[in-house]
Amino acid sequence: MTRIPARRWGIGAAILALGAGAVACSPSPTNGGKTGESAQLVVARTADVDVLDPARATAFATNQTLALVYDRLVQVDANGKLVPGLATKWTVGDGGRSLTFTLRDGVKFHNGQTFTSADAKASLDRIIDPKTASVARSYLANVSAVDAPDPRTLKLNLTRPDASLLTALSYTGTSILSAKDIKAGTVDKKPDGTGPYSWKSWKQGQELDLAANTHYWNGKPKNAGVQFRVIPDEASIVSGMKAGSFSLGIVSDPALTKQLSTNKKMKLVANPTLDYHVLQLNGRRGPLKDKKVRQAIACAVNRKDAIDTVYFGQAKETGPIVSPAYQFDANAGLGCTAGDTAGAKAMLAKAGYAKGFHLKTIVMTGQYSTSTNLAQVLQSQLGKIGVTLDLDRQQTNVYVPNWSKANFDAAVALNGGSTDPYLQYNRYFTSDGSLKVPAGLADPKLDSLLRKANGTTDEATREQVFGDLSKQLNDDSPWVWLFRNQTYYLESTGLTGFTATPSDSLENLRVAGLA
Amino acid sequence: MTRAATLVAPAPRTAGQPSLPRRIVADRNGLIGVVLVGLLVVVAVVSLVHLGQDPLAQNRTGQLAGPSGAHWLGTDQFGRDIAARVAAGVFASLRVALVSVGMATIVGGLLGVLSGFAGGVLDAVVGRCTDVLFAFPATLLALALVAALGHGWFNTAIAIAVVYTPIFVRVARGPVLTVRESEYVKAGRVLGFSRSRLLFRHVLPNVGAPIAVQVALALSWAILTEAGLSFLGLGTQPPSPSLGLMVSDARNFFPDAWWTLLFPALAVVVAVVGLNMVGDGLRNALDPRRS
Repeated sequence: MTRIPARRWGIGAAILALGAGAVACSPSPTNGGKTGESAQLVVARTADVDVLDPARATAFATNQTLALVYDRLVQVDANGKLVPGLATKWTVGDGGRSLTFTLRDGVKFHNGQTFTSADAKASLDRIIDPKTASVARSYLANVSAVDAPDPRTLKLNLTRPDASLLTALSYTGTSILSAKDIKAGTVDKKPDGTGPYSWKSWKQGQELDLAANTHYWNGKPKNAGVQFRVIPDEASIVSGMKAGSFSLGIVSDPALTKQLSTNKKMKLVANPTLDYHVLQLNGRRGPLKDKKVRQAIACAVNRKDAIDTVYFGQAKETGPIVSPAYQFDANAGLGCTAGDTAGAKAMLAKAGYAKGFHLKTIVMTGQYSTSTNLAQVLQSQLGKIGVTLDLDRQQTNVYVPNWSKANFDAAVALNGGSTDPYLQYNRYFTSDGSLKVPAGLADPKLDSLLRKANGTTDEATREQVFGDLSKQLNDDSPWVWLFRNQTYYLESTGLTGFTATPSDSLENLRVAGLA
Repeated sequence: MTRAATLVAPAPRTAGQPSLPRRIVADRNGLIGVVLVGLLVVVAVVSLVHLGQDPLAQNRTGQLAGPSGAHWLGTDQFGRDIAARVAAGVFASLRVALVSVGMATIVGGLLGVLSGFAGGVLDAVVGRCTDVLFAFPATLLALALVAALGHGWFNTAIAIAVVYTPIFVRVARGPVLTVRESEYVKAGRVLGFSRSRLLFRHVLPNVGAPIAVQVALALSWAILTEAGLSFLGLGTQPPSPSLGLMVSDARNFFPDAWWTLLFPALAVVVAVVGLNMVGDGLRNALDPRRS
């Protein structure tokens, strides 16, 4: 046997000691055994917050987090209906040209200051101000002036009726900030809202701590705080859940969840979101100029098979309208049964493309994990009618410019949905929409339907117009609507009271606790 | 007879010695290597004629099914036959490896021999260029090249070839420096042989051995690099089967569907171990001190 020199023993002991130290310093898995209202919830997700100003937040994790710190005038409930937030009620006046809010009494910012209409006015004025460069500015495009006649009243004057404004006022982008912070210019330094949690600390790229706001107007949170941990690899989030390190893990890869259905350490909740998967067709190019060809492609796609393969059956088929508030036949207007290969082939032959054709199809890699898998399924399905998808996988930074310039025949895309179909499609299918190029098609009928829906606040009329919009979109078939995205919440067995929402907000963490 | 034999200059193969393939097979490592690589070549050839299943045919009802009579190695997420995909993946890997190493050998070998034989400015330029390429970590350089050239098996092959060319330059140049100073080359120069005759008839045949060994080793690296690039999503593009891509896709299913990960990974291991052992055997067979 070789004798190990004493010095090596020393090094070995040092390494062991370091390892032991690392184990000792690693985060305690179960929160120090605290339960109930003294427990801190640990949430693991892949991304971190990027900006601290809600008016400039686009990233998903940012919206999700700031929505816990700030309140909006209105909120959306689990069914997509608008419910009071900082405003207790609202009335539409002047033939739809004004909107008057009665604001909640006794609400305090985390800094102790009382919330008044001056804060709401300053917040909305700040969004409208082009210098803020707010991503929410277009939502308030029809607002001509914001008045605060008394501390409990806020009046928005509109240039024309705007039915989607209330929904837009429920978005994190239109959060209410403190007028004092706006004046002091500290909005993007330290978040200070009226929400259920106050900002505690942030180690960028690692973890973020929020403390429960015990004075919250809607009841104090049922836990002491929330800690967000950034774990870029979803498989590591799953491992962490198995080790009991997190109360809640948020992942999007359906493949990962295959191995979790029988795990006793956690409960898997698949939450349908409003984001929707589509195959966008560029109706300004080649054979796709022909409506019948686009319809044939839409008919040839078997959504159920795609869901079974890509999402293991855990996704919901969708037509153009994704809002849970409006339910329409997903295929109405298409003129065929979806998944009817023979019918689609006949339609294609009738249009003069019996031999089929190739489509340059862009696929985004990196942002979401299912894109390539979905592309392969669509390639296989459309191959049956002779339409060959030539897949070009591109990183996000290559894909997005190509997509924006409509530099594709077809694009496998995941688009953000909305509870308001107008907010979902006005950017794409109105004549002055900011995304009308990547939409791939312009149809005056779509434009007028969208404007008609937004010009009225009568729910019955809106529902009917959105029904017509859904049919018209299917008739035009600029895109093939596939299914609604899923987010997977891995809940530790001790987590109680948490429910996911269709908008993937985490506002229900407020009522969650550890048993 | 004995006198005559001692007068003959050492040649790669002396009379009465077994042929090179026989000598490789006579080496234990060489034999195992040849068997393993032969197995893969057979599998790759079989994949070309689609004897069993179409590697691209999706079958929704047969998703992630374990090995069975119908699907010997099981199926993947799309219900595609893993045996067919592994076979096609082996073919793709071998194709990239052969083409890339072929290019690297021809370009690198020639440059090395020429620069070593000619010396002077050419040697300096080639030497410095080689140094620059060597300065980059191999995988990183290949990644950057594929990102710049675009996807596809041929671009992957070019990227790998560029990465391995400097190795061949060095491997070829070293022995040339020795050989060009040997007495038989000097004698040829005195006799007035042209430079090309000296180079191709007298120098090149005598530096073949190290290059041959290098080829076998480079083939195994090339397979590993191709698998690595595909694993990272930059090599072969889906739905085309590639061993690296299959391993990458299978990571998430591994606890449930081990066959999706095991078989493509095993194929990479067999290819790399096999080619390394062939390289071992080749080196031993060509080693003059051993014969």
